Amino acid sequence: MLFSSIVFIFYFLPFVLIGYFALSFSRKLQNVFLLIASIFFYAWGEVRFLAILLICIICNYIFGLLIDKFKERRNIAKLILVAACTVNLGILFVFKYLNFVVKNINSLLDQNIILPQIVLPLGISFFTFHAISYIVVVYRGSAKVQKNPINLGLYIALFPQLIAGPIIRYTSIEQQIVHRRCTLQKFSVGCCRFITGLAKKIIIANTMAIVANHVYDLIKISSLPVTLAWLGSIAYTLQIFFDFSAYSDMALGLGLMFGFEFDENFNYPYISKSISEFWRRWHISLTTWFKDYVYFPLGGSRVSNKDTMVRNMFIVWLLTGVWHGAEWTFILWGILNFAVMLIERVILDENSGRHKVIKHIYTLLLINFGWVLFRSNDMYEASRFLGNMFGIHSSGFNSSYTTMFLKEYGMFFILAIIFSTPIAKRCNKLLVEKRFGAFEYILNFTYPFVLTMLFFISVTYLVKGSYNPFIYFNF
Amino acid sequence: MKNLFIKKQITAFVFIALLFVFSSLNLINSYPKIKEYMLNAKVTKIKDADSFVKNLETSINDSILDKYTFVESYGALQVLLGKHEVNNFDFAVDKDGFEYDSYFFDDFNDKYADKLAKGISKFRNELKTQGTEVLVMTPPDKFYDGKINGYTGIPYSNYSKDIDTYYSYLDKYNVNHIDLRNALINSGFTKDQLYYKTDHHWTTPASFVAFRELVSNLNKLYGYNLDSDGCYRDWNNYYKVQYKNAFLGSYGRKIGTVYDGLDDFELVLPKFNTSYRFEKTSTDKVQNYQGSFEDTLVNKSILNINDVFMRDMYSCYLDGVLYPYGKITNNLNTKGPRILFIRDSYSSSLAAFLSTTCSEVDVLYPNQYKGDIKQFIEQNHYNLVIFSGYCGTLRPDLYWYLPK
Repeated sequence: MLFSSIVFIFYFLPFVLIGYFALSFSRKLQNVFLLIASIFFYAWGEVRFLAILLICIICNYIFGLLIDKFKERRNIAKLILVAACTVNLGILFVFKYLNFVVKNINSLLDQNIILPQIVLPLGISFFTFHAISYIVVVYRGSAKVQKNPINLGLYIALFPQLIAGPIIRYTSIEQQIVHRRCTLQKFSVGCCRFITGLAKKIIIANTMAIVANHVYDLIKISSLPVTLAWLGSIAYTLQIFFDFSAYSDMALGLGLMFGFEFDENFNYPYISKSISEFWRRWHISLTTWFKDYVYFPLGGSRVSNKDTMVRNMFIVWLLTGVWHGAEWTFILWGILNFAVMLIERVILDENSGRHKVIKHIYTLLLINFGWVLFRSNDMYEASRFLGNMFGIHSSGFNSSYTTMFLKEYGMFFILAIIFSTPIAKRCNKLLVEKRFGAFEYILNFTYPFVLTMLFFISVTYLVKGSYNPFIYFNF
Repeated sequence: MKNLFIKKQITAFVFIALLFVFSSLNLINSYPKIKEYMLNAKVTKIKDADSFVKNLETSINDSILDKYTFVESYGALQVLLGKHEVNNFDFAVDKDGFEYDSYFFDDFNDKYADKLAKGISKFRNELKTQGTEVLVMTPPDKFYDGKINGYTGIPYSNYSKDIDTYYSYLDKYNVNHIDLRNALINSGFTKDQLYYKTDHHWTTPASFVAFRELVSNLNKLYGYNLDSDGCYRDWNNYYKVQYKNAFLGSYGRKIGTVYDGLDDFELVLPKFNTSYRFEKTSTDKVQNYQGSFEDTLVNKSILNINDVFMRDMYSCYLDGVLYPYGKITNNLNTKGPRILFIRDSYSSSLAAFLSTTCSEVDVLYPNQYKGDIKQFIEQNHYNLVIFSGYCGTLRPDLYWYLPK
């Protein structure tokens, strides 16, 4: 089930809210109810993969108990940890990467290994990473083993973060599972956050998707004019940010409505002045996960040998690329991020306040080129697209399509660019500091109206059956 | 800080109130349809469960409360935004307010046209041994005159140009065909009178022009003597009932009247005496109508529906297209030819008008007819079979029954 759907907004959400708050007298019952609701949420349209989610919960529950049982005997505990990681990553490998590996073996070794078509279960990359987070922290002893399978199930499968993240580390939610507080303040902020996310997804991301998808469809059959290639790449750059951050907003908002406080997943990444900064602001939960469970265990930056640090960075960014999808484009995208960050470490002084504009332009350009690689179906398409952006084998400079897209969607581009900066956040800050004078009352008064209108417009687009892609099927 | 939370609390209150009130009313509204769907669904395998959920979600979306209020709001938003393409290039409007399908890729190519023409030719050869002739007639779209007053860059569909490609291959296989574009251009009617702005169909006057052209061509190509005195083809021998600002076409129903406005609809009925029997065969029943042209071939109840979104006036002739087979018997012309239209929705009013000159005109909609079409034709011994698919349906596989 998707958040941006009629069935979620007008059937699932009201039902779950009523059920959840009706059980306010018992946290245990609330958790059972939320778990059942989460399983139903996942099963909606993905019934055949429900078993995988349940197996993941049960296996990791058992692995956790075993690790805890043998916590004094580190070798055995380590063995169980390895087994647990193998099972989790094995599931992920079979469903996400096996086809890709076999395809490459076939082409490399001229073999003809035939595999049945394996469909990627929704959200598998997210819930397996949740499971690994739990197992690792139990092994490390930084969290207690979860003896209640319902609570563990809730952590792995809680519906707000089940299919598109954020990837919540077990330690940050361990206490909340049992001791969270539902307050009117949290609930209100959660509602507003959910509406904002819904509007970002429906009004901006889906509209950017129309432009991006048409341009990326056109490159499949012909070369693009320079302006159209740039417009398509910018549209996708905006689409992926608004789509992904909108889902995080909705997840955080829903979490707050049920009393959970998840960590922020995005922090205006497009205002970054380096790629390193970008990754501190983009999909923060994934970056933090890799840092905690891969980079630091490998030694991180605090190694005597610089080569080891470079190797550690390479591994992390290779895995980051691979996590995003089973295709060479993702692998290269990960490696390029590694290379750029390595170069930045050597030549870029991040703390320097000089050349801010140039740094910003450089970062945005690299991000944009990175998304071209990320969005393209294969390396050939990516190279053609990038080439067309610079006039190499392009079909001219301008096209009537570019003008048309700008006329039809110019307003959405402007909105997307404005709201990819922290302008709303800064306005809010000024409002809190009472720097708007009399204007403050108008802004405060119109806030509920604006958000209600955004909700109404979003529902209008949904009812109308407007274009509503879900870009996480590959994740 | 206090204000910050107060405004969020007010927003949350409004949101929750709206959510629960609308959800409850919506549930009451949708419950019968959802219940019906769930009772009729058969789920025996896991695979069925996925499609069950998918269809249930579609049913939930379709039956949402006040759907058309949302459609109107969507249309109003598009007006405010100055948009000319609608819903991810589903369709687009030109400067004169006409709506067209919109597509970026032209997939009607020579190879496909050749295959289609070859299939028709084989079919023609097989039917010829039974004494049945074959004719192809492809109603054009709003591009019939090759002109559009469009906005720069919007990829309006131009299906009419596919007729040239298609007909060149029909020529290759010597299949008879009629090009209606010149007749429409020289009809004396303007584009406003020939095509609806909010729908992809032609108007009743346009189908009358096509009827005249068809009769002339049938006489010329097959030596028929239809309407020898021109009485049935005389526009003055018909009543015209104007329904001003009454029709919202298929495009319009997707975007609403605020964006689109409404089209006029013209009901055209013979002044002369007529006597018909119309047998309409649906999948589960056969309906019979007896009487005049007006009583049998026109479903006037459609014209009286109050809700403009439900009032598909175009479907009043022959009750539209969504049934497999219909048989029109002209009791006053028992000696005329027997003609079968293998058709789409464009042919409803056209077939009705043609029936004035024939003893029998049958209409078969291949998308809904499940039997063997060739066998059906052989059993009914028609004089002529007309393949009448509008140029926009050349792409979808309307011709699945043709021999490979």
